[in-house]
Amino acid sequence: MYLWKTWHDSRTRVVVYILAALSVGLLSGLEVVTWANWHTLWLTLERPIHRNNWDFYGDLTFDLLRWQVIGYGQVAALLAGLSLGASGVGREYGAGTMHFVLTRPRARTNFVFTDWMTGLTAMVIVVGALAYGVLPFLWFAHAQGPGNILMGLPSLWALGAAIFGLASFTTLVGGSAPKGLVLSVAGVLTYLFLPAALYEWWHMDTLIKAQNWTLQILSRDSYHFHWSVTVFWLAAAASFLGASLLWIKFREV
Amino acid sequence: MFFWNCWLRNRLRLAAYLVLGCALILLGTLPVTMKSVDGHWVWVHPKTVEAAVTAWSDGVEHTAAVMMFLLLFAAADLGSLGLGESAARKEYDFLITRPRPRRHFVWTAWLTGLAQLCFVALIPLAVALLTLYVLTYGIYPDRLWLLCVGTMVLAALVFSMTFAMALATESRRNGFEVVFSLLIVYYVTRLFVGSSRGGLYWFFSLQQSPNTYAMGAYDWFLTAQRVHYFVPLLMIATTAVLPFLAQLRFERQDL
Repeated sequence: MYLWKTWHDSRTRVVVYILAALSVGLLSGLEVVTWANWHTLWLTLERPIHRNNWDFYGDLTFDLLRWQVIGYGQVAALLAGLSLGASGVGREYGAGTMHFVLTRPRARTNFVFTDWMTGLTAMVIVVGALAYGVLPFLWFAHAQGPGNILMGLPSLWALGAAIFGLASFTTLVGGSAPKGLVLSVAGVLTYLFLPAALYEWWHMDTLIKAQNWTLQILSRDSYHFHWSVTVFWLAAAASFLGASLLWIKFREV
Repeated sequence: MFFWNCWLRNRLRLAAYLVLGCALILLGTLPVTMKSVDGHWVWVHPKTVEAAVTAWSDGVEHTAAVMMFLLLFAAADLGSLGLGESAARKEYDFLITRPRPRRHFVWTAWLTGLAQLCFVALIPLAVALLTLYVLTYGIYPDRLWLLCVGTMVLAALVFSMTFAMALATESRRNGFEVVFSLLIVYYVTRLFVGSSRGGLYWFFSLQQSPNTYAMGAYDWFLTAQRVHYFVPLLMIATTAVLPFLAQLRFERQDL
């Protein structure tokens, strides 16, 4: 029953995000293929006897599409994670419905698990929709296989899960969706900019090295799967889940 | 009376932003006179005017970067706490029993938020000026005022957008989310579309401002491309028009 309620409360948002992600994927794919097509034609006119022009076209298209998926994927993971996380069980306090929710014959932790299941599924579909949008263009451009593009997705999902966990936890602690959203946005901004500020202004490089390691999944130059970083973000998500379970278990009402 | 209601509702938030702002400003301005001596970073008092001007130049850049993030974030938060929050708290039914026209509530909430935003801007700025003066025994603000005005114009625009969106969607959260999404989409689009051509090329392809942080957020104010001089005026006009739109929406709302 609570599963249905969670879906009912967030379905408009989820559908809008999926459509937006799919549109961005399709539009960016179209833009990349068009640009790469013109670029290669120009190259062919300039050096017509060069045999590798169309191999170059395939490689260029693949690289650009991969950058688009990573570039837009991090934004999709951020927005979907924050927004869906703020729709967590903590919003029931702000809406004044928590007293009713807790009269249901379920353990408190069950509500958190249900929220996480719905939210993470939606986030995975939203971030994945970006990559699904560009896949047809890979085939069109005879570029490298879709596996190479899809390889970056699990890392983005793990990052999105951690952001979702943060927003869900802050919503539970703040007791309302807007407070959770504001706190989690502040947390993300601090994570992104404090290490850079300390490095640039105070010449302290420890934090920025750690930050660079955790964000190497977003690097344009990495062509392999980052197991360790993906596990790190999954562990961060699991920590937020554990903290949320403890919080709701020991919180009065 | 409604003014105090709005002011009191946000007072803790305002205090938090002021403390955070002052702390961030100190983080940004204190290291401008630090030098590496024998492998250690220590504070060295500038001995020449040129050294003091350089320190001020760095301090101004750091202050602008801090103010940009602080003010944009505070603007979005305070804007969403206007009448949109009253809808979420189901206060409309009580509000419209007061002997005031509906536009009174819209403008009072908007002006209160803007006044609080000015506090968030002015006090950290005063701390920045004081810190830089103490560090250098001189005042060389250079383009500090230009950057501060630019930041304030952007922050006021974001404030008005969030205020109007929260009122239109009758939800503080939705207003915040819509404006946050728009800002991200704008900057990401600039990153990806800025180098290409198209109908909106002029909107996304400003020359990057030299020596500024914040992803070229000041380009509209510092660019040498004179064709864009009207954009800051457009921002100010939009900031002023949005409360009118919010007023129209609120006056036609079926309560």
